[in-house]
Parts: sequence; C-alpha cells; structure tokens
Amino acid sequence: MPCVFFSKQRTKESRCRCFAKVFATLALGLLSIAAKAAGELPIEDLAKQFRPIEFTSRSQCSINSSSPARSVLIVGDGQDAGRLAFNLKSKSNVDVSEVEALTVYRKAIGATFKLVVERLLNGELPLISGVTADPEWKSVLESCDQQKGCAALESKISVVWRDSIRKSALPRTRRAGEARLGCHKINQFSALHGHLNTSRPTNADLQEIATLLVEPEKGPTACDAESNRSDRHFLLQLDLVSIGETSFEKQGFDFWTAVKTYAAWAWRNSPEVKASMGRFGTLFPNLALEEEILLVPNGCRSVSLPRCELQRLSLDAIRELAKPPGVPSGFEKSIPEGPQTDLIERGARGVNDGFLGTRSGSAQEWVKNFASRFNEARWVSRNKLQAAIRQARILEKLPNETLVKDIESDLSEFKASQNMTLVSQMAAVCLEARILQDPTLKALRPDIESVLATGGEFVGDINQSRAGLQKVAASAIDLAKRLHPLCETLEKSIFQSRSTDKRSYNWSFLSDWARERMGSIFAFDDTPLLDAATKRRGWERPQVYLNLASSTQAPIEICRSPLACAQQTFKSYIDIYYVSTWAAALHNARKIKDSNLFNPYAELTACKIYDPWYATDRANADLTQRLIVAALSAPLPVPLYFESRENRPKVVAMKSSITPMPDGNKELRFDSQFETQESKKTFFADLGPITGAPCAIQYSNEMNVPFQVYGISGVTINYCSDGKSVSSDVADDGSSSKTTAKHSICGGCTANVSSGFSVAAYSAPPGPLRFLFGAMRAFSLYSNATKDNVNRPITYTVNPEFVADTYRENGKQVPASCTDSLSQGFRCFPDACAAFAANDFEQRSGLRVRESSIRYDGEENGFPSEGSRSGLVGLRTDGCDSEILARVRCDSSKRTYEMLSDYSAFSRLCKPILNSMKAAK
Amino acid sequence: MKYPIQLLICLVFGLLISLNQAEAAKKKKPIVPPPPVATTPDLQLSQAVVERDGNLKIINTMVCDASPVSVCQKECGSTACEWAEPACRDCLGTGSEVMREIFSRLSVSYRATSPIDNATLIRTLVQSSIVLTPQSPYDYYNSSQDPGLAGQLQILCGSASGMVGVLRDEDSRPTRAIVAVCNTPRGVQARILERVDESTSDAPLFLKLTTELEMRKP
Repeated sequence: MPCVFFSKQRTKESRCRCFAKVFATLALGLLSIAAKAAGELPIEDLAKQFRPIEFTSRSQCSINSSSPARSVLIVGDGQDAGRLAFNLKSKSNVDVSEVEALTVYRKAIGATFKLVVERLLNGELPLISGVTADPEWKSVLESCDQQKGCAALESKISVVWRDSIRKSALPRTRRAGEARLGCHKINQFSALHGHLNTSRPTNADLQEIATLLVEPEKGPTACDAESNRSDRHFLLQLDLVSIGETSFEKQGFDFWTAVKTYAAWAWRNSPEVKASMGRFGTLFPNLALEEEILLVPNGCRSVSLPRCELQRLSLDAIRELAKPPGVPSGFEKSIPEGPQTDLIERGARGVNDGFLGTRSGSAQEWVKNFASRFNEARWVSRNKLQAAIRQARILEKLPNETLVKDIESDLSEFKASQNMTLVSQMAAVCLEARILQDPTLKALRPDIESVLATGGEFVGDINQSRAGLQKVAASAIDLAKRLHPLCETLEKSIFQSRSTDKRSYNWSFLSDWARERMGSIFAFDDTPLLDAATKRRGWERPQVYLNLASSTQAPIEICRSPLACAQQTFKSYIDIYYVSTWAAALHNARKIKDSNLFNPYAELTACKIYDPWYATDRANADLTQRLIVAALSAPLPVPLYFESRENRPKVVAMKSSITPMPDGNKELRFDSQFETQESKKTFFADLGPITGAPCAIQYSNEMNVPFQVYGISGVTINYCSDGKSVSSDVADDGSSSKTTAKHSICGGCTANVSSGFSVAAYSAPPGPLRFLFGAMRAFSLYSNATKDNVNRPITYTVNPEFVADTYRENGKQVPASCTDSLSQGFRCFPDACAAFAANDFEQRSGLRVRESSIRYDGEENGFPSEGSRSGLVGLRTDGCDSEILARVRCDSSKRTYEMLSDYSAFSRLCKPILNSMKAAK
Repeated sequence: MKYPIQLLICLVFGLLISLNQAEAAKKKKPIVPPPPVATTPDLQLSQAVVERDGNLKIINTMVCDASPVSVCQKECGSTACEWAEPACRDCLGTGSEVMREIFSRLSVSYRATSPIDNATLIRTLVQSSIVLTPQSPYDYYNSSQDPGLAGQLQILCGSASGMVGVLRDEDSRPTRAIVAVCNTPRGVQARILERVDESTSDAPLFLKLTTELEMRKP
C-alpha cells in the first residue's frame, strides 16, 4: 500500500510507520542534497553505481579475457599538467599553482570519459566499428590508422558530436533499470577491488564493501568532483551498470573503441570538456590524452580483444612495470627477447592474488610506482629513438665502404699488432658484427628483422624518420657483412694470439648490448671495466676521425675513430629494434592505450600457452576412460586396469609471421610451437579378489603419480619407488648431467573407515557388481577433479547494491549466513537456490523480493542434500498478498541454477505483476 | 622591380601561407602600442601568457616602428598587433619528437639559411606556425638552469632572445622548425631553418649543419 499519510484506512501503527518512512525519505533527500553540494554522491546511490564484482578462478579469468570489460580503470599521471603550471608560474609569471592544475586536470579527464560513455550508453553517440556502425566510419578510421591524417575522422566526429549535444538536451525520463555509468576516483585499495586479490569473497570482504558504500566518508568520490586527496597520480573507475549483458558481450569491444576515439576527440574539441578545464581550457587540449592515461580492465575481462601479436603483447607487457621497483622486466634489457619469449619463460602463474600489490594501501602510491617506472621506460625508449635518428642522419653521409677502408687503413697505420686498445676495439667490432649477421649465431639474436619490418611502422612522429630508421637498420647489417672478410683474416692472425695466452686484446670495448647477449657464453672476468664515456669513445686515436667543427663553439666529437663509428651504427640498429619491439607500449600515441594489467592469462590464452578448459576436458575424458576400463575388466578374475592420460603439449617457442593489415600496416603474429609430451600410462592390478582386502599394485611411466587405485579417501598404507635413470643433459660447457626418475611403482592398501564398503567392494566377484564398484571409483575420482578451484572455471559474483542493502537491514552487519547467497550475486536469503529465484524474479519484474524460501522435492524423506535438486520456491514481494510460486532446479556444489516453471500465485492481487512479467518476456 | 629578393622569398613561402590567410587576418587585433624607446627597432616580437575570458592564452605581440608602411600597419592598421597561438596538438608533455628535438638539439639538427624579410616572417608566424620562445610553456625538456632554447638561438642567429617558428600539419601537430628569429637592438633578424639531413651537400664528411657549423674530417 502506498504511504499516504492522511489516509483514513491507516491504523495508528501504520501511520507511525508511514511517518517514519516519510521522515526517512526527507532526511535522505536532504542528506543527498548536502552530499551533492559537498561534491559527493548521494548516499543511496553509491552502491548502485558499481557493477557486480566478479571473483574468478584462474581458468575462469582466462576465459573472461576474451570478453569485453564492464568495469575499467583509468590510470592517470598529472606530471605533464603539473609541469605546465610550473612553466607558467616560473617562466611566464602567471598566478597559478600546480595543485590547482592537477585537480582541474583530473576532473577534466573524469568529465571527458563520463560525457562520452554516458552519451554512448544513452545512444546519443553511435558506435564507430562493428556490424551496427555506419560503413563510412571504416574508411575514415583506416585512413587515420595509416597516419595519413585524421581530418576526415575528426570532421565526422564533430558532426555526430553536435548531434549528440542536441539529443542530450532533449527531456528524457530515466528508468530504474536503464544503463548508466558509475565514475569514481579510487583513493584506497579495498574489498571493492577484492577480485584482484582473491578468487572467492569472504564475509569480511562483504562487510568491508558494505561499509565503504554505506558510509560515504570512507568510500570513493565522484571522478569529476573535488577530492581531499592528491591528484598528482590518480585512479578513476568506470562502471557500466545495468547494461544489456548479451548485446554488450557482442559489441563491448566496439564500445571501448568508440570510447577511446571519442574521448581523444572530446579532449581537444568538445565545448563541454573545455568548460570543465576552467582557465586551462585553451592549454590542456594540447596535452596528448593518449600519452597521459592508460585504460586498464578492472579484472579479467578486456578492453581490446587479446591477440598473439607483437604490439598487443607489448602493450600487455606494461604489467611488469606495475610491479614494485626492482622487479626486472624486458624493458630494461638492451636487446629484449620480446614479450612473446618472456611469456613462455614466465609460463603459468598466479592471478587474482594481489600480485600487483592491490591488497591494500593508497591507490595513488600504486599509480605513482607504476607511472614512474612507465615514464622512465618511455623516456629511455624515446632517447634511444632520437639518438638512432640523429645517428642515422649523420652516418648516412658516411658510406660503409669508406668506413671499412678507413678501419683497414687505421689497422696498418697505427700498427694494430702492437696496439692493444686498438685490437681490443677491433675485436669488439668483429664480435658485434658477427652477432648481428652471422647465420651460425642466429640463436644469439632475436628475430630482429621481422620486428623491424613491422614494429618500425609504429614508431616516430616524424614522417621522414620511419624511412630513415629502415635505412639505418639496413646500413648496419650491410656494414656487418662488409666487415666479415676483414674479421675472418684477423681471427686467423692477430686474434689468434689470445689462444696462445699472449693477451694481445681484451673485451673492454665490447658494447653493453653485445655483453648482454654473450654473457652466458663468454667469461668476461679478466676484462677491465670502462666507464660509459670511455667505452663509447674507444681507443685513443691521435686525431679525431669525425667531428662537428664550429666557429662559435667547441667541436662536437662524433666518432673518435672509424671503429667507434661502426659501433655507433650497430648500437643504433639495436636501439631501433628495442624501440620497435616496445612501440605500442612506449610510442605511437595515436590511440588511447589499454593493457590487461591484472590478467596475464589474456596473452597466455591468446597465444595458446594456457588452455582454460584443459582440466575440465581431462576430467571428462578420464571419467569416460575409467568407465570403459571398468566394463572391460569386470569379467577378469584379477582385474587389471590401464589408464592413459595425454599430457598437454608444452609450448617451447613462437613461430612468427608477418601479416598485412587492412589499414596497410603489418603485424607480427605468433603461433605457438608445441613439444609433445609423453602420455602418462598407469597400469594397476587390483589384488582385492586374491587378498580379500583393498590392496593393489600400480606401475606408471612417470614419477609422483598418486596412488589412487581405489579412488576413495581413507587410510592408505603404501610404498612407492621411483625408478631412476640417467639422462644426459649437456650444458654449454658439456659438464653437467641430470638424473631424472622415469617411472614409479606403488603397492598399498586403502581402507575407507567411514563407509566400510571398501573391503566388500574389492573382494567382489567378477561381473556386474565389480563393474559397479569400478564405476563408483571413476565417479569418485571425477568428483575430486571437479573440486579443483584453480584450473576449473569458477565465478563468484558480489552485487554491491545487495551487500549494502543487507548491511543496512541487519544493523550494520552482513550476517555470515548471507555470505553464500551474496557471493553468488544474489540478495541475502538463507538458501542459495531460493536467492537465485528471488534474483530472477526481481530482474524480470523490477520489484523487490522481501522473502524467499524453498522446499526441495523429497526433503521430508531425508534425501541427500548434495547434488542437483529440484524444489518449489515461495516468494513474497510488495503489492502481492500471497506467495508467488515457481519450480527451480539447483546444484549448489556446481552452482548451477535453472527456473523450471513460470511464476504463479493464488491471489488476484498478484496477477497484474505476473501478467506484466509475461508481457515483458 | 624594386625588391626582387623579397618577392622571390614571398613566392617560396606563398604556398605555405596562402591557405589560412583570410582566417588569420581575423585573429589579429590592434592594441595600444607600448611607449617608444630611445632607439626604436623596426620590429620587435614577444610572447606572453595572459588570462582572457577566463582562459589562459599564449599571446604573441609584434611592435613596429612608427613608419606608415610598417608590417604592423599593413597587417592590422596599427603600430602593434597581436595574435593568439593556435592549438598545438600534443605539444605539451614529452611525447612529441619534434618538440623534443627543437628544445634539446635545434642547433645540431637544423641549420639557419637565408634571411627573410619582416612581412614574410610575420605572415609565416601568424598563419602557419606556432611560436616557441625560451620561456615557452611547451618546454618540458630544460630546467631553469639550462640554456635551453636561448642557447640554441644564440648559436643559430646570434642572440639568446628570440623565437622559433614551427610548422604544423593538418592535424595541428608540429612537424618541423621553419624559422629562427632573434631580437636585436636593431629589430628582428630571421633566418629560414633547414634540416641537416635534407642538405643538398654531396660531400659526405663535410655536412653543413648551420651557416657557422660544419661537419668535417679533421
């Protein structure tokens, strides 16, 4: 009944209740106005502005990586905005503070994404890719991707943007379940990000989530509102709430493509965003938004579909920079192996276990660590690029032919055989040249040619520089080849002396990159270490070989000797490779970047290194095989069993292929190369019929095979022996060898003290009875396999709104009895199956369920409470004076739920509700 | 013809500046000229960041001598003109390689070539480029102790006070430095900038990096 305070029909009690309700509503309204004025969200709204939080197992996380993200974090660093304020204040005497600039900047970024996402959700802006997009977008996007200029794209966006302004100005009534955006600034990591730290929520997590959402002073603030925390580094969270899940699953990646494209445009051109920038409205648009922020899926799903391709892998490798300082990454190497190799080396690992330090603590500090490592990597890479371009411009005027001749003439002019430093640098040049081009040393270098053929297109702002980079790369290889005959001659003459222990040269001039590659082969212990400047200069040639002379300033030395020029050319080549490898991560800021920071299984799955369904498929295959074997061995007097299990092939390398893209660029794609593993074969004989006790012997061709002949838990007495065999594993020095076990033999007896059926089972006579027990063993082992919480897909979902409601309704507590149903994404009800039915009803009717209970079929007869069960659910809701009934089937161990019937009710008052649900259906 | 050299240079720059001529003319507003100084140079250029209409804007100013045929009179009908800097996409921050090169290695990557006259200079600056000064808010590469762009200008055109004109592409991104302008007591001295790698010199080891600099084999 609606709360009409002066209604004649109301009793005194109901009037009091009604008064309290009206008062509470007024108080909440006033509080929400006050909160708004303070820049905070209305109290009631906060819990409704977060998406349900998904806690997933490793396998589920891997599966989710191919699904579009519904919740996304924006990692922002205000360094450039702060520096602008500093420049204005110190150089132009403008009255502005860094703090002001940082706050306005963070709020403007929040406002930009809020504006764009809301307009997309409202249908005021169209998608620009996918099946529903206007085909004209494709050509303008491709033109922009080819970096021929984005004028056509920008012009088209300005047209649709104007249209969106008109549409957004139209009056519209927002429905309760309509798609909306939650946009918040995250100050502290908490249970709201518990899914990054654990695969299953606890009651304490739920309690913390409720506290943060119900007590607003502890929770997050709106992303475009004032905040009392620093804005130097910030983390914003975008939550797409109440979206159509099915359609978003299909269009989600297109949605994020549109968000990124529109946001980049709006940052520079939208009058609404300009207004949010305050007095920085003319200057902030000159900050490259694409450089300033990084989009990170808040969990396992993705912003872009993961692919096993160099530049995508490069973007995801940024994850390594989010780890604490000191944790090494491929970005620190002079010659990175490439993200694809790092992927294999790291292999399967933990996920959703707080591996990036998100368990607690300040989000700003987390961003600060990440941003400083990321900025450092970008700075290093950009310096490498600039140096390579500069070097290319200078040295392209010096033909390789001339350089080699000058090296040869130096060797004779400065008496190489008596000049240790000259010979040492010559040896370094020869070794570097060999590493770069010698086919026999191919294993020592990554696939530089392929990377340069594709990644080179992604680097450089300067159009001319791209061609220049390719030229310097080709020139370096040409130089290495030209030096080959000279080096061969020297190896037979001057360099030979080293082997006679005369020590005519050392490796002190060997470049750092070459040392990095050769470290595992060469011993450099006796080599004196030189400082970087001395090493770069090389041997002290009496006269400078190449410099810039000036009448107004001191000459700038380019190369002290021709050998130094050669080493610089090789270094430029290596630098270009480095830059090309990490191009998407550290360069090419034409698009807003996104990286699967929290889900390493995005790449592991895309590159087929991890198969999320492997454990599930194997358990199913094992069950089938055991049932067949049980049937075959049933008639034998002494049952002999055999099991064969295919081990998953191991990825040992990546095969690369250059693939042309529709936009004219090229991609370097990878295909995993598998090494087949020997299948695990296990034989065992059940001695039960002979001994009259559950005893067996087992033989396997692998070690550490569990003795699980009987497939039941109980007291096991057994003995296993691992057969040892020597397999030679020759190391580089040819010295070491490893000893590995190649098989195992077990014998033992198992007694299941709880059921006592085992003795009877294993002395069972041949025939159907023995098959029955064989089948029980198969199912028992299958059941154990399904309890793998890591490698089988499992999801727990927590709806913050339901948690907050439970907290409010239970005296600021989340009862432990609610944990189960709240962890399934349902409201708090004593039974998860009843909670599921209530959730289904709420979603379909839009009404709140107050009570939900279930009576399982056969409950009164004491049937087992595990496994799949059916039952009749009774729901109570406002506006209906009788129970609403429906039949459901649930399996709480597998967490599968199914509605078996439509809702029905006896009362006439409930009919309109049920009819409206049918109509909506 | 009275001024054949100037006309020739005008033709070279005509292609660059013709597109936005009408629009740029609108941007220029007459302002009140500053009080005259003892020795009046024919043209002085300066840049400042000011707050107008609630927005911080980079404003370039040119002040001419009192001549009725001065470039200021021609462009905006006064002895002084100003114009607001256009958008410079991605210029703030450290992502632009062009800006990085200009602020850190301008004098090594470019050489100053022929001088240009005031009228062409002003049209070039107003219509086709952004203007960078040693005090530019776009400088993310030099600390306050570094000589920065002032040092580069000193090498290129002999004065630490001045500015560099940078050409933009159709997306408003900087593409290359095109002119170096130095303020001197006699007025501005501007020279066209040319990239060293675009030099037409054939001598491999004698690259002319600037008019004063040359790369040579000792």
